[in-house]
Parts: sequence; C-alpha cells; structure tokens
Amino acid sequence: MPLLYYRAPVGHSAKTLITLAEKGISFQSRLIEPPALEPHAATIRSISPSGSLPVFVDDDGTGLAESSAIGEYLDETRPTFRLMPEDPIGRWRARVWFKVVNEDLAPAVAILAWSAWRVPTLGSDEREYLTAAAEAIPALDRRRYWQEGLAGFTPSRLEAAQAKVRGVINLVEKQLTQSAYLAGSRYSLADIDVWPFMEPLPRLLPDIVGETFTPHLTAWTERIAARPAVIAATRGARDSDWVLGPEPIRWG
Amino acid sequence: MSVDLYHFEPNANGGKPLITLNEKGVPFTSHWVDLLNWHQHRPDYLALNPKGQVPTLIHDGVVITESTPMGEYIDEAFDGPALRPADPAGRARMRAWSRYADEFLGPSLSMIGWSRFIGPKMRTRDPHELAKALEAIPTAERRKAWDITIYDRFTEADLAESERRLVVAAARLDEQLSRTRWLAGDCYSLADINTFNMAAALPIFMPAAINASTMPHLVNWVNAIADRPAVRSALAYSRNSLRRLD
Repeated sequence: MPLLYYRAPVGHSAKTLITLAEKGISFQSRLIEPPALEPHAATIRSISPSGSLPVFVDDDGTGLAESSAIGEYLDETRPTFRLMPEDPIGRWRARVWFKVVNEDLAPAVAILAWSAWRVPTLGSDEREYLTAAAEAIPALDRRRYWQEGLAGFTPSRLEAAQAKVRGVINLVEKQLTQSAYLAGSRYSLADIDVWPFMEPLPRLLPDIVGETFTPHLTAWTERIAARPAVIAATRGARDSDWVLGPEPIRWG
Repeated sequence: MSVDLYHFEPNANGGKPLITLNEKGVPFTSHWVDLLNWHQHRPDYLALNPKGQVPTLIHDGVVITESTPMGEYIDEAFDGPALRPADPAGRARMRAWSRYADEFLGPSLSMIGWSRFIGPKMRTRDPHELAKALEAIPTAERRKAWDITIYDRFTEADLAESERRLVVAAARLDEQLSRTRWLAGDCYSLADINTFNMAAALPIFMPAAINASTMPHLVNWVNAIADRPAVRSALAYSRNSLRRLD
C-alpha cells in the first residue's frame, strides 16, 4: 500500500490528501510534527532533500516530493476520475496555477496564518521545543527562516505577504467570473492546489475576502469545501495547524 | 500555424522556450524584448503579459506565459522528439527539478546577475533619464527591484547568501548528475533545459567553488547541453547585451 508522510491537513499536505481522497486511493500515513522530520528524517530526506512535505511512496517504492508534482503523478497513474484538464491549454492553465500557489500564495498565507494563529498561542514549553527543533534544521536558509518566524515577522514582511495574497485573490476572483473552476469548466488539480490557501482567508483577512468583496471566490471556496472527498481529507484541521512552509521567493 | 516568441537574451527564463522550440523543430517568429530599455513595461507588451516578463509565446492567437508551464505546453502541442520522460515518476522528478530551478537556484542567480551585470550597465546611462524610466515602471515590486539594481542598494548579507545558495544548488545538481546522466534520469528532458538556462552561469559566477575539478558532473552536463545543435541555435539569438563591462 502507498505511504504518505505529511503534516496536519492544511496547506500543501491538504492538497495531496484531497487528491488521494478524490481518487479513492487507499494509503497508509505518517503524520510528522513540524519542523522536525523525526523519526522518519532519513527516509524523507532521501526523497525530498530540502525536507519539504508531503512525500509520497508508491507501491513499487517510487518516492516523490513536491505536492503539485505528486498530484500530476497520481492523476497519470490512477486515471479514474481525471483531475487534469484534457487539452494542452487547460493543462497549461492548471500548471500556471500550481506556480502561483507554490511561489506566491502558499508562502504568503503561511506567514499570515502562522503570525495570526500560531505565534500568539505558543506556550513557553512549545516555544522552547520549536526553537530547539529549528536550531537543528540542516539547511541554513530554512533554519534562519524558522528563527525569523519564531522571533516574529517584521511589519514589512507581513505587508509584503498581504500584498501577494491580495494579488492572488484578485486573480482568482477574476478567473471565476469567467469559468466555474480555475482551469476551466471542470474541477481540477488547479482547484485542489489553490483551495487549501483560500479556505482560511475569510477568517484571516475578513476585510477583503467574503461574500461582499469576493463573491465568486467565496462561492467557489464553499462549493469545494462541501465535496465529500474534501470534507474527509481535511477533517480535524485547525487554524493553529498552520506552520511555515518554504520561504517567499527572495528576488526577481 | 503561427508561433511567435517574445524573448530577450537566450538565458534564464527567456532561454527556455528558445531551446525547447528548437529541440522540437518548431518554426517560430522571434520578437526581441529589450529588457534593458524596459520594453517589457510598454502597454502593448503588458497587454500580452500583464506581469511584464519574458518570455511570451503566441500559438495561433493563444497567449502562453510562464516559461516552465510553457515548456510542457510546447512539448504537448507540437510534434517532434518528446522532451518529457515517458513514465509518470520520471515526469514527477522532472517537475520537482524545474521547481527547484525556479524557486531556489533562479532567484539567487538572478540577484547576482542583476548586481554584477545589469547594475553597472545601467550606471553608465544618463542619471536623469534613468530616474524618469524608473518612475514609469508599472508595479511597486518591479520598481523596487530596479531601484536596488540601478543604485546598487544590494546588501552584503543578501549577496553573500545568494552566493552561498548557488554553491548549495550546484552541489545538489552535481550529486544528482553523478548518479544519472540527466536530471530526471536517463532521458534528456525539460528539467535539463530549464535548469541549464540558469546553471550554465554557475561556473562563470562562482569560478573558485564551481569548476571542472570541484563539480565535474555538473560541468560535463552543462557542456553536453551547450553542444546540442538546438541549444546552439538558441544561443545564436544572443545580442551580447549582458556582456561584462571591461
């Protein structure tokens, strides 16, 4: 049976959990508490050198990292209920959404959610544990990023994150005035990639996201939230599950 | 059938479709976008590519942006040799490497390139005109990047961090290429094309740390790709506009 190493069912891990549920794929799972990878660090790093999760190991031992790439792999190897659009333009559109999520949306939402929901609730024991775990992250950039997050992000970092999220909200709202789903008329991996990062926004940014400001985005978010596979895959998710993912793009 | 490609020098993102179209043998019309004179921010270009980036591909009237998804589009939409592994796991590895190039290697490489090549080039121009051009840049984010570049406001710490990342990325590429001939396995793919466009600069930017004796597999791989006929055709589009000032 395939095996999934994942974090709590929000963000990038939610994408893969939803895809597996939509396709009815049975799998075993190992929930890994951030930021450490123990006790599976060696296995995870052999597949995902940066230590990013989720990591998926298929029946034949094939190990895969990067949630968007895992999504396409699952769609190609389990073609019942296709989740990629059928035409090259539709697939291109879906892959552009993957990029928007991975490069702009996900790092920015993680900064805002972590700052709003996690940092204020950190007890001193937990803070001490996370500080030690962050200290032990082998990649210098990731270690520094966690240290920055634990110290509290600067106002300029938070403003930049909000500006990124705002930009993507506008893109999503605009696209959904033109098509029922992000890559066209059908539900696809593009929706599965974007949704976990839109779902928390009405609570995180109530002044800009909601029925009055973003009617199409709100209706789409609720439509996807009501899907049985999405309900099952994200059961038990809490706002305080949000942790820092990869840092925002530094330049360019 | 009509194929139009808007691009700048055949490196980084703009170089990806130049190579890919040549590998597939797709005839196209080339349109030079002069990034150093901000033609990417002109209204007619922004109408095609609202982010003001190169490249942009127009295939029978359909506008395709974002060089990495564009590569997969070209491979799917045109005949010619396949540029993606035949198996799903190989394609997943190809996509993971492309993402690494775009998110980790690319930004650090670009910061060094802008600071060492584009900045000095800009500072030879009339300061008045530069200030006016800067004001005309449409988004605050791009304006800030150009401001840092033109007035050399990069911090030592940021540049040092970028250089450190280039060596980390080079070592990771070299390790993979010590085990497999190409990045995604035994098949030359879009992962190689996407990464080559950035990695070819590594031995030039960081010669002491990244060279044929410290990273032999990486250097051999760069040379093997540079020798491909399609890559030579793509590189022939260069106008040497980023050549280092002496």
